[in-house]
Amino acid sequence: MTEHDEAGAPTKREKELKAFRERQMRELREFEQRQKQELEEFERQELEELKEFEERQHPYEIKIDRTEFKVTEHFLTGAQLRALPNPPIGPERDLFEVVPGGSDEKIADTQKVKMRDGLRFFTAPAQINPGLL
Amino acid sequence: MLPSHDIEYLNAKAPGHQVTTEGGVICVLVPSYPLPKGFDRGASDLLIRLAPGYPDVPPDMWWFDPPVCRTDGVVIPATEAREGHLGRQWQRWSRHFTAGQWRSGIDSLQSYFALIRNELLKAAPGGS
Repeated sequence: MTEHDEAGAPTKREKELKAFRERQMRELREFEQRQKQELEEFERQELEELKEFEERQHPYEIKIDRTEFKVTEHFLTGAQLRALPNPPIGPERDLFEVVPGGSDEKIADTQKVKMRDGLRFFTAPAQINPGLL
Repeated sequence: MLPSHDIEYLNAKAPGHQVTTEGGVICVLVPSYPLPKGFDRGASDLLIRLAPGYPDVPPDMWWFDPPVCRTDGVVIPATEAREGHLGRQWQRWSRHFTAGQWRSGIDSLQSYFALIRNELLKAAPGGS
């Protein structure tokens, strides 16, 4: 059964299919364009951060329990952060990163934290004992 | 009065909180404190009572209204007592520091709230 009418002109269904394909192609092009822009933006930010890392001459200023520390590393693990104060933070306390506007994040010993100026941490007792009642 | 860093912390992290006094005790009430998964409700009002001498004197216990229970029915240790404060009945979470655990001059409401969160996660089903 042919999709053309007797005069060979496209039927209504053929026109709808053609419009559908064109719309799909247009959406695909737009999607690819958006992805390209996002990738370019991501790469630009990565390059900027890398440049900042490479060019940075001064240490990062961070705080743990309201005491300031200056660190030169770009990343520190939870264990390395625990070793900064004197005496170091023991296992009887948990270490948290202050998350402005969100829930403060507990930092595990092996977790890597990217340094930046103004980063704040605090410690808290790791446990409290239930009473008898 | 609360130390300024506690007031800053509450303003930033405990929306709608109320600070009042009752019998010389500072009461910090956080309405609709969000609870971790595993409890029979998503949020409950949280009460912290700070004895005279805080922050040199550590906080002791905390309270919820309405009561907070596990979804699997397992009883959470030392949470079955009920106490009246601020004209309401509260579920008491009887929890106590041992000597030296609370570090005067370092610990604050920020660390106490972090501890409460941690204890709630431990008390939830599957918590360690």
